[in-house]
Amino acid sequence: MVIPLIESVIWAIVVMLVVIIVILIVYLKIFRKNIRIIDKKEKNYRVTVEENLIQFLYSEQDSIFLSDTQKKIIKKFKKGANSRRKRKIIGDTFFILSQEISGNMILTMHKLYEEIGLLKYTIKKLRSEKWNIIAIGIRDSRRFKIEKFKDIIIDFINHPKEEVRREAHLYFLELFGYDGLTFLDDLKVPLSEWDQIQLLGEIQKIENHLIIDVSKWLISDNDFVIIFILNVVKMFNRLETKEILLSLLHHGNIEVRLKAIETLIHFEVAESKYILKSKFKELTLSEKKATFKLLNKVATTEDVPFILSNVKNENFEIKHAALLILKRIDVVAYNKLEKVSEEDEDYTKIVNFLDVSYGF
Amino acid sequence: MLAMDFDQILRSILLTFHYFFLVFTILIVGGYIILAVFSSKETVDYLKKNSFIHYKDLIKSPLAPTISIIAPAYNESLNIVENVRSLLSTHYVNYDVIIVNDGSKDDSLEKLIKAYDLEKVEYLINKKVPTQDLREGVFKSKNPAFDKLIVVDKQNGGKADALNCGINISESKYLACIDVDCLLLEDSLQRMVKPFLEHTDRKVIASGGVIRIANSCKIEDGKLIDINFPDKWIERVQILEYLRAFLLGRMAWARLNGLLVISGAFGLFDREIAIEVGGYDTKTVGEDMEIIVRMRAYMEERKLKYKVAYIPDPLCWTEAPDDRKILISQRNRWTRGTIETLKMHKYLALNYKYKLLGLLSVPYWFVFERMAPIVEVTGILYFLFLVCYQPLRWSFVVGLFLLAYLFSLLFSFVAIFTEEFTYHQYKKKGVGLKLVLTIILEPFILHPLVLYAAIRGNYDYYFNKKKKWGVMVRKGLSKS
Repeated sequence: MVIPLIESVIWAIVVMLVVIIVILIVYLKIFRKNIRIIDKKEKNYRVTVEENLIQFLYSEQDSIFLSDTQKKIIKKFKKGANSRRKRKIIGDTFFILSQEISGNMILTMHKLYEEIGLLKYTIKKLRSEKWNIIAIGIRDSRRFKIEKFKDIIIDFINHPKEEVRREAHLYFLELFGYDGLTFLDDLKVPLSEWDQIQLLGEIQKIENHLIIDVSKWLISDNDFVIIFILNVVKMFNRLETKEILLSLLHHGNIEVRLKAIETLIHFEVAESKYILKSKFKELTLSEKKATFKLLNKVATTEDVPFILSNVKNENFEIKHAALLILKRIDVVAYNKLEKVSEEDEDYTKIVNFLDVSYGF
Repeated sequence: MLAMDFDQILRSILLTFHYFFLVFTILIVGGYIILAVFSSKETVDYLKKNSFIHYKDLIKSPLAPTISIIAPAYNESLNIVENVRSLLSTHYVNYDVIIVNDGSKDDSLEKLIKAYDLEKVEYLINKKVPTQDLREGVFKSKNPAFDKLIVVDKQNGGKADALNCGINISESKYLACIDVDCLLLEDSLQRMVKPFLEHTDRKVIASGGVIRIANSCKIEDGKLIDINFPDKWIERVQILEYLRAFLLGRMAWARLNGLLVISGAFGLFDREIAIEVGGYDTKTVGEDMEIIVRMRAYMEERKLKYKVAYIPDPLCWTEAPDDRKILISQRNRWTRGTIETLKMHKYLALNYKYKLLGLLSVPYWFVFERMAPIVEVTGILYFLFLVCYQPLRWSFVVGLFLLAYLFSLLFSFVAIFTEEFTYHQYKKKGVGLKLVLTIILEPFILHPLVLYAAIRGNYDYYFNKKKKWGVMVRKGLSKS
């Protein structure tokens, strides 16, 4: 009997799939077993590394020269550093422990890092073609405060991969403190909100808060740099930048303008309200809302006419803010307002809330 | 002569059917292969990127954006207190938890008042999205330890309406819409919000996460203590199905930026866009898919660059149906939700103005999700017709069935290996064998039920308009 070609093909694929699936079942079994074994081995090795490292550090304190035990430990670490997995465990353990020690011990650990050849691997990583390996290299340089790679890492501050450039930015901040912020001079790429959170987190860790003059970055060509520095200004109360902040209210980028208003609200800069009121009609809705947030802090009786003109603003939040501020700064004017509006249900609701429920 | 004509007509009809099924099968298998490739690329990229993340900085950062967790609750008295406790123990800085008691007939509200020392407060609500009126009002705790908690008691209006009420109450930048009985891992908000913060060239409008099945897992005080593989087959097969759907399907669509669904169990949304599009649609039972389609269409119409992100980390654990009837009811609802959404947004299909959304996502969803069960049933009926009226070459038939079956096993294996290479959640000895058995048996246990539910869903959509949500009986995760 002649089997049609299509049927032969189907059965051939069936046989092939059966073989593949059998292989996959066996591989799954081996793979799961290996995961367990590797996990166990890694756990044990981590403990060994920890013990050896502690032993090394504490015996170092007693003598200038390396003891036999220390030499043995170095030998063990060197052997371990040849394996990628073990190298990673050594690096991670070194880093975790370096967080818990201080003074000379950190220096000793950094020396040990160099001695066992991990530095060699770090430079290799920095020269890698793969972005994730480069990022690991920068992270290792950061963790172990290796300043001598500065000239290599500076090339990564505008790297197309955000993970690489973020590690590079953090490297400069972590190793050089506020001086490290100079990477902002050459920054051509965006700084995402996530980047800024990481950078600000790093800045907060810097002990000396006498930071350098940030004004030049407030007029940067890179809008992301301006936004980031506005966050720094707000966080560290750099009110001496007030004039630049006011000028930023006219910036071309709405995100910059909004961040500038937010910063001015923080400082309660009354001058800003004149600027914002004067161009209120041209502002975007977000800016208008921000203006009322500012007025909530700095409004005085001179602002009453402006506020009155907005008590029936079509936006609920602005309307609420206007009525709330008015009630606080000029209760007489507020009480003269109609309590019920036929055409504006929200107005009636807000007035009722402020009068009856809000408890003024 | 007439008999010959009839014979010819029958042959050409049969031939048309042959080619239709052949093309459909090639497309569906080809589609799955392409999705598997995309998902593996996306997963690898995600894991690489994830190894450089310092989430701790986000927790203490003044720049951490505000998030409202909105959890609708209807007759959840059994677990509500524990579930809320779990939500309150989330590791994040700027967040609040809004529990919307959607006209529950049980004592959910009383239990919450007692457990969290709640008192009624006056609350100015900007009704940006229309919802049912409040019933008892808004409650906040007198105890400062629970100052993040807001409980809203409203008239019953369904899940979508309750979520809309939460949207109106919230003042946060982002909304985490979740099922109240879901268990969120402590760092879930940090991970979910990250995509919103890291893109500078486009706006992330929503992000979704993998939903994992918590049946048989050990949970204490709202925390996942031990992950177990369940004993019941109906639960096991759903675990496999979820892994396939989330780790392969959605991951691949995320890579293409063509994701149409973010699970209603846990999703994070940009509040401003959610309000702009009018919140959740209360007329559909597939509100989770519908809002994403509407948000995407909104962004496309305004020519704004956007992304719907997706996180493969196992962040949200939920209870899956452990009973055939409830499972069928759930899948019936999902089918109706898909039909409703696609019908409401039929203008998107093959509409080049909506780019990938109109040219790929919606057509794919229509052909391979909406129509697939109907095509399958037609195929079965056609096969039975052939058995009765045509001489069949059985070696060919068996070969074809085996081919289809083995392909389905292969995709399940790809999903399992993705899980093993990445998160490896089922670590215990012996689970590997159980997984293999589940892969082998799933096409015979789950698939017929899902197919039946989908056909019932179609029937109910067209002929039983009154049918709405159906009941999901919860046993409670803490009792697992």
